[in-house]
Amino acid sequence: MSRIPFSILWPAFLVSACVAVAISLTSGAMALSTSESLLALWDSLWGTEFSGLAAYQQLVVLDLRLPRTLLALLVGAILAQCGAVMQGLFRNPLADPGIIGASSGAALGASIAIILLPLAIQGFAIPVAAFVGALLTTLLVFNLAQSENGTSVVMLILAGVAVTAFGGAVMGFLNVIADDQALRDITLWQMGSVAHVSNHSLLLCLVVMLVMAWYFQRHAQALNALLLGESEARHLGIDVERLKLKLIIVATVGVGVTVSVAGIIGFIGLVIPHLVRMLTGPDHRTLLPLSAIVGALLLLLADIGARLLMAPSELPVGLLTAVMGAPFFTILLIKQRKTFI
Amino acid sequence: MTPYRLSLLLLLALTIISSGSNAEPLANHQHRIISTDAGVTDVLFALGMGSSLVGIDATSVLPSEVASDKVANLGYHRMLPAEGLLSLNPDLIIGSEHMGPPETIAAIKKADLTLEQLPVAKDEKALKENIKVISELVDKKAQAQALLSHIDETMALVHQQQLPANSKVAFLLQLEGRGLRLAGKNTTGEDIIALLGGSNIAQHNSYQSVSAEALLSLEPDVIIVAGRDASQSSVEVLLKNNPLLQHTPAVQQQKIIEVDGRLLVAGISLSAVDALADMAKKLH
Repeated sequence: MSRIPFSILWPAFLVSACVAVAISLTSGAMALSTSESLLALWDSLWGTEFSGLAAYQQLVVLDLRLPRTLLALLVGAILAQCGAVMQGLFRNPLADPGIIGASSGAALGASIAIILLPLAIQGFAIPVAAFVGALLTTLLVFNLAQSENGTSVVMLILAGVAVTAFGGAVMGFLNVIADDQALRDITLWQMGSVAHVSNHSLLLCLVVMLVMAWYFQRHAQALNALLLGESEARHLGIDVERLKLKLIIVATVGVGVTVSVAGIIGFIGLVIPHLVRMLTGPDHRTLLPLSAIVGALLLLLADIGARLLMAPSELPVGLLTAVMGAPFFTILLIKQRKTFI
Repeated sequence: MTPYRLSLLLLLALTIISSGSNAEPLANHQHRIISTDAGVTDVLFALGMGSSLVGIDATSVLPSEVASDKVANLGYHRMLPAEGLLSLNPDLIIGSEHMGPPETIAAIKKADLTLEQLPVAKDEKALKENIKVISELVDKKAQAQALLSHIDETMALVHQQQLPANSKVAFLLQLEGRGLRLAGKNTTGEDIIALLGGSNIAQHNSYQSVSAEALLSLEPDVIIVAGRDASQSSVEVLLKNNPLLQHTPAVQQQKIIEVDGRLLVAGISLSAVDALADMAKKLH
């Protein structure tokens, strides 16, 4: 497949993302005029009064659609970049944060909070527990994979499998003792949603996204060198062990933050870097920023779908990313089959 | 894939998605009510307010004569979509204490809509309180009076037909082919046992899986089976799948009865009161 220059791709996807933002702000369960909705945003930015929307309609645009649009963009961008870094780090096309136990740890933490903690503090406790779960499992897996010879990628993945299986069993036990309401909460939480946004979570995601993007970009060259192989990278003067540890921790923090604010949203971290790599090639200097834009775009499109498909009721967005992502991923794999043999 | 094809595909996807958003504008009626609790929905229909209902939650059951496409379903009552709720342009939203998430409740309050969150009723007294509150909200106090006296009469029958003192009762959820779940503390099953005058044999919290052997060892005097499929007898299915239960005191004295589990999702509701009278009669 012919590659497309980065200089063409990034403006194209950026424009698409802007169009998607406009669509996201103007569509939803409530039928509001497109121009009036955009004017309401203009009004709130510049203090003008052009929009003819009633107060409760402005509330829908500014308090409901705008925050979830921003959250979808940020979460999509974070997940896609973390996926790209993990795949580069492990030189494994199937690597995503799930593979080293981050998602399963997050799910376990959240389930413990849902089942064992009183309802009143759950709103605060679930995200914190999810984040702590993700961080603890990743550190555990990383520790298991370390020996005097360094960190083994195979051990890392195997330890990830073991920890995920153990986490699954503990979650199974929690499901057995949970009441029906908690069970339903867990199931829905696991499918992810960007509908529940607070200013704190938006700010947290924004900071994480910016710091992470800067940090990953600084290590893009080192990731490129790692593509050659670990010993080759070492010969190029890169401290491979330190690089792995630092990047895994930053990626886990990124994933942990998204899980804590939006639940588990699968396939973005796996599919987007693949797609982008096929478009522009494996250079991390272009792969990382482009993954961020495409990830943001795709999660936002999925969220628009989640809002509209069953309106006025809503689907969990994680369900749609899986429905969109899985067949798409399969088609990509079939097209690229010979490169994997 | 070439860039041109890709951008074309993207454009197509965007068009499809944006064209789906032109929902029908809403007409304005006097009353537009959303109920996010099965028990509240029951009461609203009993008060003759069913035609004002514009939205319900996933557990609410509409009477068969009401077309389900007339009333929007908003999904699980603890995960209600804020925009979905507001898009129905309601002037009154009634739900239970479990209604959520907090962001949606905050949006409802910010939009200045009337919101009433009622406690889940554990007995007829709480149910009557809830009915009074609802009837005041929809201005149907006179109609509520009839409902309240119906509850009083029905519950009087239940109280006359109480189980013998210290009857050990097991309340089972029948899961098709996937075993049994026994109602423990803080469940509607336990509330029903208490209202029938018995005591719950289970000591655990919420619903937990039990084996037929464990159930046999608890020696229940009465077994209540809540099935989900009204088309077949839950008692027959239970005994066919668990022949061991033939040896419980309950089955030997034919004190095993069934109840439609769907009537009990919202605690002690209007339909649960009628089901209680039915159960008390059968057990007497």
